[in-house]
Amino acid sequence: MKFVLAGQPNSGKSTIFNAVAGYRAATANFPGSSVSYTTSRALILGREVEVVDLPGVYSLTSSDTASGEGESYLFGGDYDLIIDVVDASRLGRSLELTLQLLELRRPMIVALNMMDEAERRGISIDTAALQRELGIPVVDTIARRGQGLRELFRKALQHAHLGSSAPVPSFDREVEAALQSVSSALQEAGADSGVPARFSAAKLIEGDSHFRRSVFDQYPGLEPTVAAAVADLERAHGWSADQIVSGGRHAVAHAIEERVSVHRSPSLGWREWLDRLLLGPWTGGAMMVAILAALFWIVFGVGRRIEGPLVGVFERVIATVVGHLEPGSLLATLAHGVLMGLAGGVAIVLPYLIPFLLGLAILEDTGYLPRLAYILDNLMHRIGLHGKSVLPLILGYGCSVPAIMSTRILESRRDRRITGVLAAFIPCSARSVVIFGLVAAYLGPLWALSIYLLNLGVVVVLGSILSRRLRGSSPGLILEIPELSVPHARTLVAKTWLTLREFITIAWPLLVASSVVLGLLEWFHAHDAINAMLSPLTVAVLGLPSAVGMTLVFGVLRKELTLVMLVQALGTTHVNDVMTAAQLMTFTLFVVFYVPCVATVAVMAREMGWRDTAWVAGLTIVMATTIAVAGRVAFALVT
Amino acid sequence: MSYDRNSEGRASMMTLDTVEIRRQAKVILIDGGHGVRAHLNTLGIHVGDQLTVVERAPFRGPVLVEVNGTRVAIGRGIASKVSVEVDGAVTSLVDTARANRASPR
Repeated sequence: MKFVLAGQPNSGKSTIFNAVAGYRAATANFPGSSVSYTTSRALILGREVEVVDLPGVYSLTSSDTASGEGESYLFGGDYDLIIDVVDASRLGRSLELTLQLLELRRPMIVALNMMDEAERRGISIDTAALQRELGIPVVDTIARRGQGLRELFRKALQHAHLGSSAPVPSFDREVEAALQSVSSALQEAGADSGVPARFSAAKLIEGDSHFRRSVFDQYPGLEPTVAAAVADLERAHGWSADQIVSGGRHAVAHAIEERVSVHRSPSLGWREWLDRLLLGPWTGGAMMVAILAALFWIVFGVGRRIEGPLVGVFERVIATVVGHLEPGSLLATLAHGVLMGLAGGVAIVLPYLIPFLLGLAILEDTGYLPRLAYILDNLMHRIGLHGKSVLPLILGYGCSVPAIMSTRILESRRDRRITGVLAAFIPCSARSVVIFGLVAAYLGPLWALSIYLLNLGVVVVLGSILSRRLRGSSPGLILEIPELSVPHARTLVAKTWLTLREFITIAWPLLVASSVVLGLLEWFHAHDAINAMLSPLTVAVLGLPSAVGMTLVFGVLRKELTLVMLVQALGTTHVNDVMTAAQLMTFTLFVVFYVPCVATVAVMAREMGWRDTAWVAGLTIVMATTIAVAGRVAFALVT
Repeated sequence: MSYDRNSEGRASMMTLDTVEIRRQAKVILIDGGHGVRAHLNTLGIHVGDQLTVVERAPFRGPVLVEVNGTRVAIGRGIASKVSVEVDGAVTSLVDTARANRASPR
C-alpha cells in the first residue's frame, strides 16, 4: 500500500509525513521548503504502508519549461491513494489544486489541515458539506499538534481498499466542448501519457509548454485539433484559453468555498502588529539587522561559554591517555591523533554548531525567511536577481547542499545558476564553526563579524558580475508570505537533530578516519612531503605554517575538518600559541572561500552540470587566495 | 474617510505598483505573458479579484497584497504589469480607526 501526500506549498505535507515517519523531511514556514520527495515506511493501524512526501505544487499546469518532480510522480507514479493536503485557511485557492487532482481519477482523500489557523482567521468550515461537494472523504487535521492524523490514515486505508475515484466537477459548456474534442482526438491517436485523456486535454488547452511539447513531438497530428479547440474557446469567451480554464477552475473552487465555509472578522492580534514592524517601510530594515545581529551574538556567546570548559576536559583526557602509552610509538601517535580529532569535533565544533542550527531553525519556522525576501527584493534587483534568491542564500548559512537544491524554487534557469554559485560562497555552518572557533574565539567577535560582512560584499560583487555576464531574464518576485507562527520546541529540536545526526554519523567517522590517516602520515613522515608540496601556496603566498597544508586537503571532504585537523596538525587545542592573529585570519579567510566540500561539489554538478561546477571550483581557489592575501595585508596594516 | 480627497473620480484605472497602502483594488488585466499570469493565478490572483495593498517597500521595492486571505509579495516590475481599478474603498485590515491614523504615503 502506498500513499502520496500532495498539496500546495506550505500546506503541511512534510509535517504530516514526519508525524507518521519520524522527523525525516525538513519542514519550514516558507513555500518550497521541500524540493524533492521523501519516502518512508510506516506502521499504520498494524499495516505497513509506504508514505511519499512530494514537494508542494500550486497547480498541475506548469508554465515552466521543465515539469517538476512532484508532478511527474503524481502523473506516472505507482501508488494507491493521494492524500491531498489542503490548507484550511486558504481553502478556495487550495481547492483549485484539489479539482485538478480529482481529474487524475486516482483514489483520493482530503486532509483539511491547519484548522487552527483557519479558526484564527475567522474561517469555520463545514467538513461534512465539503465532503459532499467533493464526493471524497475529508478529515480535519492540525498536523503540527498531531490532531486528526490517526483518523486521516484510518480513512486513507479504508478508501484505498475501495479504490474508487470521485466524479469530476464540470466546467461551462464551451470549455467542456473543447475538452471533449481534444480528449477524443487524443484517444483516437492512441496517445496515452498515463493520465486520463480529459486531464491531458485540459493541460494542452491551457498551454502547459512542457506537456505540449512532449505530446506534439510524438503526435504532430494533434496540434491542429488543439489549436482549433483553443481558437473556438477564445472566440466564445474573448479571453486567452489558459485564463478561461484556470478562471473556470477558480470559479468552481470559490463556489465550493462559499457553500462550505463561513467567514467572521479575523482576530490576528500580535501577528499583524509584529508584521507591521518586520515589513514596515522604515522599520523592516532595522528589524532585520537587529535579528541577524542577535543571532550572531547568541551563537558566539553560548559557544564560547561551552567551548572553554569542554576543551579543558579533553586536554586532561588526552594527557592521561597518551601519558600511559610509550612516547613516540605508532600507537601513541595514532591515539593522540584520534583523540585530538574527537576533541576538535566535540569540544570546538558542537558548542557553536548547535546554537547556530537552532537559531537557523527558528528563523525558518517562524516564517521570517520569506519576509527577508520581501525586504531584500530591492537590493537583490541591484545585483540582477530578485527577492526569492534570498531563500537559498540564507539556507546556505546552514549547509550549501540544501541551499543549492532549493534554487529550484526560482523560475528562470539564469537565476538558478547565479544563485547556486552564490550559495556555494556563503559560509555554511561548517565554515561558520571555523570562523567562530578560530577568529571569534581568539581575535574577538568583531573580527568574525567583519568576515561575514566581507563575504557578503564579495557575494554582492560576484552576483553583479555574473548577472551582467549571463543572459536571460529574471522574472521578478512573486512569493507567498505565510503567516508568522510560533515555532514548536519539539520541531526545532527534531530539525536541529536531523542535521546534527548527519554530522555525527557522517562527519565523525570521517573525522576519526582522517585523524588516523593524518596520524599514519605523520608516523611515516609523509605529511612533510604533502605539506612541502603545498608550501608555495600556504607558506610563500599566505604566510601560514607549513603544517596547515594537510588540513586544507582534508577540508575538501568537510570544512569542519580544517579546524579539527589544524588542532591535530599543530598538536595543541590552543591554536593561538602556534599561529599569530594574522595567520589565523588568513587561514580562516582561505577556508571560508576555497573549494566547497565534496558533497556540495556533487550536488552542484547534479543541479548545474560539471562545466559550471569545475568553473566554480577554479574560481573559488583563485578568490580564496586573493582574498586571503588581501586579508593578510589589510590585517597587518590595521593592527 | 481621509483618503477620499486624494482619489480622483469614482473609479480609476492604475497599475498595482502605484496603488496606495490599505487601498482596495480590483484586478482588470494581467499583462506580462503566460508565465507571470499562471504564477499569479496559482497564488489566487485572477482578473476580477479584489485585492488590498498591505505594504509598499520604499525605493521601488515590492508591494505586499492581500487577496482571498493570502498575502503575496509582488516585485515592482510585475506589479507594474497588473492593471487594477481603484474605487476609493479602504479596507480595514485590523482596526479601521488605527489604519486611518497611519499616514498614507
